[in-house]
Amino acid sequence: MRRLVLLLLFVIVSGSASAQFYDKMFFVGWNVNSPLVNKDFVGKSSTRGARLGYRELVSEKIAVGVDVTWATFDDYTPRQTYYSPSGAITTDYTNYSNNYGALLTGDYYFFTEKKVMPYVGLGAGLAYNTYKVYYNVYASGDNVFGFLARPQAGVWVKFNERKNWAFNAGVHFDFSTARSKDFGYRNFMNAGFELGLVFLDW
Amino acid sequence: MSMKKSFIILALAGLLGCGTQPQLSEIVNDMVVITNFDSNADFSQFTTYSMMIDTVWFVSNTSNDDVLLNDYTKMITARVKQNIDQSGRTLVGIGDPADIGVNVVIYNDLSISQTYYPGYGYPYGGGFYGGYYGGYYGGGVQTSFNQQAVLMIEFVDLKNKGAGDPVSIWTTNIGDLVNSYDTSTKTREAIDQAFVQSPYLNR
Repeated sequence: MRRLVLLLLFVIVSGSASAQFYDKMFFVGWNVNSPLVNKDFVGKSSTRGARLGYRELVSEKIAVGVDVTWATFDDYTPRQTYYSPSGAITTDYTNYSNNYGALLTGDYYFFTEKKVMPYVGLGAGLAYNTYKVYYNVYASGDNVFGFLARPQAGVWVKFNERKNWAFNAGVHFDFSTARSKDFGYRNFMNAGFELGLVFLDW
Repeated sequence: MSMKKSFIILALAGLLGCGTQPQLSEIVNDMVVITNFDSNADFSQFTTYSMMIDTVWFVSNTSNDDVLLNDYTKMITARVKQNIDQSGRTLVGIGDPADIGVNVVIYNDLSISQTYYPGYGYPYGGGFYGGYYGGYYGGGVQTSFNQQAVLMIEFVDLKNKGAGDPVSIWTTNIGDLVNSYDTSTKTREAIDQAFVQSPYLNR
């Protein structure tokens, strides 16, 4: 019985000790995104996205750093004929939106001594979007900059106390003012989720 | 360089280089067919036309040949002729009076990219009728050049040309001839499509 109690104590102590907070963290994540505006251009959800992030702890529960994000959306339209007053064009085409972001981000961590670490964050920075139409070997497009805001929430879970990394899962919302009159964008909004890793004590 | 820095650089490179445009093989199954016409032209007045049969004009930055003659060009001119005949017009011999002159030109190995706009300048050269460089159409294709090829078919108005250069009244641009699959079949289909989407040509 005494051995069992000692064993339980060891597990509890080691559990809390393993979740000590980390001064520097590096995130790498795979992002799945769904566009929320101008779905006539690109409307499908995309599995081509990623985020890289770096954080440094500035107070007990707050970390700040940078994020670099990327998402690619595409949509195919079968061959059709489009008429104008002066002519017509027959083609199929594929629309692409490549969205890049660079953000300053702050995260708030709800705990400091847990294996399971939920957090919320907000990033603000620069968006660079390229909207392109590809038809046969031809292409036309627009490259635009804008302001980007990215609220996000997630949780990272450290399964192995001896490792200096953890799994990360989260959701995010991106809003950018990267507008393109030619392609019907007043702004770009998408929502998504992320699965990735956090490297602790980076 | 530390392992951490290497990891960051690799991750950034991977992030920025991931599949951000379609593979060429995904987008060249069918040719693009673009037609433009002069909305002031009365196509019903044109009853005869003249064009070279079997050969097409050729503009290339890798060849000094002005014309092409092969099975492919024979197919092209035969298909163009068939479609014009079906529009209710009669072919006359080169040099005989004709209402329409038909230029068939392949622009090859030039840096060509096309963007469809409702109206702007349209530089090109070549062709038997007119032979002038540059023009302006009510709408059309802005053409700049790279390693691709385009088939252009043009009608010029010989009936009302007066003393000046004949005016272009209908053009079609078909491409890409280099990268599209099954070029001969797709070219034939594209020529037919050019006339299908130009019903005003029918008399």
